Amino acid sequence: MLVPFIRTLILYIVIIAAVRLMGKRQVGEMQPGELVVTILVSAVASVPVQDIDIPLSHGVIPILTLMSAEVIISAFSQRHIRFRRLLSGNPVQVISNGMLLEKEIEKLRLSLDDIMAALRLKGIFDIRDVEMAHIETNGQLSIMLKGEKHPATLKDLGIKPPQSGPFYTVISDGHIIASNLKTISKDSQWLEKVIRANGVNDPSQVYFMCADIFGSIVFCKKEGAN
Amino acid sequence: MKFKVIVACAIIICIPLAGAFLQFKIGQYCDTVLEYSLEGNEESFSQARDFWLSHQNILTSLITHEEVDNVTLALERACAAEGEELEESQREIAGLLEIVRNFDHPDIRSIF
Repeated sequence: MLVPFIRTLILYIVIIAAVRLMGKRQVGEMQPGELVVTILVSAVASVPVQDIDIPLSHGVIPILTLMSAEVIISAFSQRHIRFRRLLSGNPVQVISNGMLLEKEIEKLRLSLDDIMAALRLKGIFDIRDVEMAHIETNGQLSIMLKGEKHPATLKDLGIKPPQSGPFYTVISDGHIIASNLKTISKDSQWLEKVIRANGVNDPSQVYFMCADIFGSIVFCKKEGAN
Repeated sequence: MKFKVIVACAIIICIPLAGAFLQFKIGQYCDTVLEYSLEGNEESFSQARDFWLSHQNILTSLITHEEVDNVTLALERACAAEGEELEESQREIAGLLEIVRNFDHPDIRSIF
C-alpha cells in the first residue's frame, strides 16, 4: 500500500511538471502530436503505479522522453512550415458561401451531423449565413459569417461605448493581489476606501473583488462578514 | 520557450547517457558476481550474495524486481548447495545474470 502511494505521488508530480513544460492546458487546443503525447503519458504513468515490481524509472523515463520530444518537435515545427504541415496537416474548408463542400467533408471522414452540431454549438442555425467555414488542424470548426449577418457593433450604430478596461482580480478569498492592483494603477488607500464604502472593514472579509483602470468594480463580501 | 527547449534537449541527451552508464555498471556487477560464483565454494557464493544485495538500489532502479530477486534466490540456494548441486547453481546463476545483463541492452530482440 505504501509503495503504490509514494509512486503515485512521484508520478503525479512528474506528469504535472511535464505537462507544464509542454505548455498546453486545454485538450481542445492541442494539435494531434500533443494529444498523442498526453494520452501516452497517462497510459505509461499507470503501469508502475499498478505493478510495484516494475521500476519507477520505467514510468518516469518514458514520460520525460515524450515530453522532451514534444517540446523539441513543437519548437522545430514553429520555425519550419513544411514540417508543421506534415505533423499537423492543413485547415480544410468545408463550407463556402453557405454551401457544404461534399468532397472535402468526405476526405475528412466527417458526417454531416458532425458539421451541423459544430455549427449549432457556434450559434449558427442557418447554414446560409456562413461565408466560409474551416476544420482547423486541432479539429475545431472556425466560421466566418456573411457580411450582412454579422452582429451589429456599437460603431455600426454610432454609439460611443462607456469607458471600460479589462477587469483584474484584486482580492481573492480575502487575499489582496498587489500586482493586479498596480496594473490598474490603484493603491491600497483606494482599496481601503472601496472596501469601507461596500460595508466591510477588512480585506480578509472580502470573498472576491475585481476592478478596472477606470475604477469600475465587482464586489462580493464573504458570508457573515460585518 | 528557449529555456524549455534547452531543458528538453538536455533530457534527451542525458537519458541515453545515464542509461549507457548504468548498463555498464550493471554489467560490472554481473561480472563480479559471476567471478565469485565460478569459484564454486560456499564462501564465494556468500560473497557473491552479499555483493549482489549491497547493490540492490541501482539494480532495482533499472531491472524488474523479479529478475533481481531471481538472482538473489539462486545465490541463496547456491550457498546451501553441495556436490553436484554447486555446478547446477553456477549454471543457473550464470543464466540469470545473463538475463539481467541484457535486460536494458538495446537490440532487435529487446526492442521488438
